[in-house]
Amino acid sequence: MKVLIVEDEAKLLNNILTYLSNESFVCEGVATFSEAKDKINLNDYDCYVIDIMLDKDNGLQLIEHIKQLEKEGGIIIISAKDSLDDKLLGLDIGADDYLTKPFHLSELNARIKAILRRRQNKGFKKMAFEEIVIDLDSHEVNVNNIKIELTTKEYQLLTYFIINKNKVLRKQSIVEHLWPDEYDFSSYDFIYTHLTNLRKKLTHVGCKDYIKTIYGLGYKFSADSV
Amino acid sequence: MKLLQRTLIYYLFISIPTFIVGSVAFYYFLQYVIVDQVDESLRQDKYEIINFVNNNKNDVTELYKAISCTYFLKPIDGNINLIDKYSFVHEYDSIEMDLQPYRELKTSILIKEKNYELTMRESFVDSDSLMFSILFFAILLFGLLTIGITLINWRVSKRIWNPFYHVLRVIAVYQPDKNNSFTIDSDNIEEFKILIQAIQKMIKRIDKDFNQQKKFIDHVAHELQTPIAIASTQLEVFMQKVKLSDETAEMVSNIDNTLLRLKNINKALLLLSRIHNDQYLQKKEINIKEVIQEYLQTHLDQISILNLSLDLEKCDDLIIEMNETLAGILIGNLLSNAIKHNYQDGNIKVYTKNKELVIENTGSKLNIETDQLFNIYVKENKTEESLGIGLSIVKEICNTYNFKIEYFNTEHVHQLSVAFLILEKASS
Repeated sequence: MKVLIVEDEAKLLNNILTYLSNESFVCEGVATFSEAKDKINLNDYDCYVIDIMLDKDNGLQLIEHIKQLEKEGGIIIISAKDSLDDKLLGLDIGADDYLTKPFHLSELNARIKAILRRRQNKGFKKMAFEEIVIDLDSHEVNVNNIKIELTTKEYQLLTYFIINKNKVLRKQSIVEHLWPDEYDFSSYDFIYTHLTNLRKKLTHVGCKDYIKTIYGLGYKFSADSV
Repeated sequence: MKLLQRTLIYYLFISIPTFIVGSVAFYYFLQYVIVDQVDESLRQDKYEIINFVNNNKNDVTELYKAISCTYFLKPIDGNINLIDKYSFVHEYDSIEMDLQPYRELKTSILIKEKNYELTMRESFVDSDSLMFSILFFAILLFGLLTIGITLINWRVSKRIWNPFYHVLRVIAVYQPDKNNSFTIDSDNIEEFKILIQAIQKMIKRIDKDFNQQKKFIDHVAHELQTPIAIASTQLEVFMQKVKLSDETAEMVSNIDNTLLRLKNINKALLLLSRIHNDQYLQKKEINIKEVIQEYLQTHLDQISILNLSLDLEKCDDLIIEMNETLAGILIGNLLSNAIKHNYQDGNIKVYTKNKELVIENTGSKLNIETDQLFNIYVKENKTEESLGIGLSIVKEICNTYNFKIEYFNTEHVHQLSVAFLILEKASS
């Protein structure tokens, strides 16, 4: 799986590439329109992450270019514009997803993986972490082949954790992922309840406790001891 | 008070005393003229009678032809020469069945060496009826003039004041930056020309300032997105790199939270600027009650953590025509405040009365003035998070739809009410 990241802010591009460096897919990053065009002409990618504010809205042309070449990869727009019109325009010209700056890298990771998963063969839509197996179509969660019942939020929390396994997840990133439309958060304490419930349900069927609390920062889903 | 009413009042103020004084003066003047006339006629008749007597004429019919008055003769003793004496007398008239006024001239006359008192009477116009006729005509005249002037005023206000009223309408519905180019025919009246020019200039200036400010906010907010994104992602990468000591983690967390606040402020600014830019024009009928229920449904976690009790018993369906997104933001902000600024085991009561929605929640008293609450730049010290900006968005949405929002505050209870569609738009 190959992902192309087009972002003209060098520092932001660098952060994205660093964060995604030890994921299961290969990331390539370019900062200019012409470089991006060259890369697109030469290679096929499974996912394109494109900043549409690239050199005066050239990002849109890039998407049109991808569509003209009938490339199959999914497209994620990242943009500083977050109005509904901008989003609709982006989705209209063929983008699959739209992410507004500033975003959490963990969220970008989740969005990219969602695109990649869509391109995988059918029947392969499973996510696994150690003894936990999740069927992404039926939303069924099995631990050691024992089915466990999770609420929607608990399910979303678990998948978000596994997508960003071994990474420190900020509370705000989790909250924004679980409640995408919420506009103002002042307290993240309420995710603690969901976390506790999820942890209970998992350990109840003999799952190891992978949810690690990172002091002051958030949580980490990891098989290693922190 | 309307311009027309004011001019009419001034007119009446001057004209009523003028007409009263004028009528009275006219009455006396007329009476004087008539009396003078009658007296003159009596004098004439007197000379006719004297002439008749002195010339020893005998044909009385000749005398009757010459005079118009009635006369009586009364012999008097001695040689008393009476001076002419004019007076008013009243005598009963059997035909009219009323006392009739007469003008009387008493004088003496010498007939055949004998003195007589000559009393001459001439019927006098009824002074009352004279006064009434004058008064009647005065009032009639006055009425006609008033109607005439009102009509002229009305025509004038319609014709001459037309550009003025046009300007008024334009200003009344004026909203910054809403395509305000207007042309008004000033009818070549100099004052109106100047007025219209001045207002056009003013509106242009306001629009320009408004636009610049709008663009500024929009630009700043957009431009800030990328640096915030860089800092925030950098921090996220940094967290992954090393195992941080508690102290460092705390510092990183502080930076992170500050960035988050910056992000939220920016988000709010962008939202405000979008509301200003009319990006939420699409309206539809929305049941506010459903919006409330939906919000509470998705926020049961927060509610259960604080163990808040909800009371929605008196909340009826409230159908309001507005933008769906804005309705969500409005209700979301109000309810999130009610949840955030609450006590553990507190309560939230939501109820409707007529077209008004009231959200009541327990919570400690605020230290700021209630009228400052909706001001974007005011923040209560104790609460870390942005209360001001959330409520200023609420306020902005209310302004957009002319909803009236009020806040009441007692020691342990906050009450926020939104009156939907209470304020009517200033109509032209």
